[in-house]
Amino acid sequence: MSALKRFDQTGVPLLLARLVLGGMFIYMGWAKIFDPVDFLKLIREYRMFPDGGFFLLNLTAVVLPWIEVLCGVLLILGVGLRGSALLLLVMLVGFTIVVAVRAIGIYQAQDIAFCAIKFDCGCGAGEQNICLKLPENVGLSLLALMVLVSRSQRFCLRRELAGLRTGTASS
Amino acid sequence: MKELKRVLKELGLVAVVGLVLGLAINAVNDDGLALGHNYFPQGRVDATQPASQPVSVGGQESSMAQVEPVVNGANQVDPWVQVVLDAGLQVMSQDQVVDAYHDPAYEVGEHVFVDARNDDLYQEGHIPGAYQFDHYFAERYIDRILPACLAAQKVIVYCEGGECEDSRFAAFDLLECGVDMGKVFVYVGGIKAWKKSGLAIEIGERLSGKMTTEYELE
Repeated sequence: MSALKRFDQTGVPLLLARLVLGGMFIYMGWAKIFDPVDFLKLIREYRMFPDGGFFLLNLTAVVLPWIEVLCGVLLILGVGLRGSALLLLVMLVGFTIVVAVRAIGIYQAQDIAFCAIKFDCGCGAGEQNICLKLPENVGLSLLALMVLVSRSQRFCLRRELAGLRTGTASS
Repeated sequence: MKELKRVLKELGLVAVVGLVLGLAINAVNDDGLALGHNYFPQGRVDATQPASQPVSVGGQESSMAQVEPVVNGANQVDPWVQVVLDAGLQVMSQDQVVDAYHDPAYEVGEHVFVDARNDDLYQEGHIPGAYQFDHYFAERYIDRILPACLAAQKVIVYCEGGECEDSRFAAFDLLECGVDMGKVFVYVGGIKAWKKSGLAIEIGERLSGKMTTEYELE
């Protein structure tokens, strides 16, 4: 067994990744839930849907924050870990692409240094610098990937519950 | 392969639960969205009045060149004014808005100001006597403002100013409710331009009487 595998089996890296990723998504999702109109206006700026696609736009504004919070809670609890991580990874890749495309558009239109670009990307943390936002998204994507590939099941509620049912609960 | 199927099944389950949760909470949330409503109407409201032709501003024929704010003195129309004109709506310049406000017609309700911002911003300060009309929750305000708008000669709609688009969307809502297109104007400068001119704002509810000229300029 390689050192990396042994380290993974301790469950500590997975736990840290779950806490950071889950905590971030609960925080970011929660911030959007209480002001759906504000979030709706922000995601409209990406022009992702064609004219007449307002139903999809509204649906995204209503549902996306709850999916983020739900994934965050499941990650922290350790239930449905890999499904949640894959869903977050897919969303993160999508978010990163649309944020980068918008930043490039601003860069071309305003003729300012790329790292001077700041805007509220609708991510739940207000106005952010693009040169901080993109690495942050890459970091979160790596954490999601880490949860996805980890073989450890330690500190996971689902495993503990399964253990209780079979009478083999372990630490 | 079996593992991949299991992960995808989990993903689908999480997505469906999130979808149901979001829709259920939106349905009971007072500030929830109406999924079938277009909150961002774009189209021209009257193709017979193209923006490139003279538009009626302040009751007089006026051309786009007279519309303020104008950039660099080369008769280049502010892009946000252009957006409003392209949508088929009329605009009012800063001077015309101030004239409309000081006109005795304002006192008798022939000129009506409509603030298209949300409740928090309206309460922080609005043009004195302006009605609030947050078009994202139109049903909360329309019964109150529609009689005043229908009876008025000029309805001046504004929001924060500049790139803020809510005044345009609120104007569309008013037109849809039967307010005559010829009397609806968008004040593109908005509350920012109003404050920049040093004019008084009213704090709190409409006609609260709490007036101030002490505010932060952005």
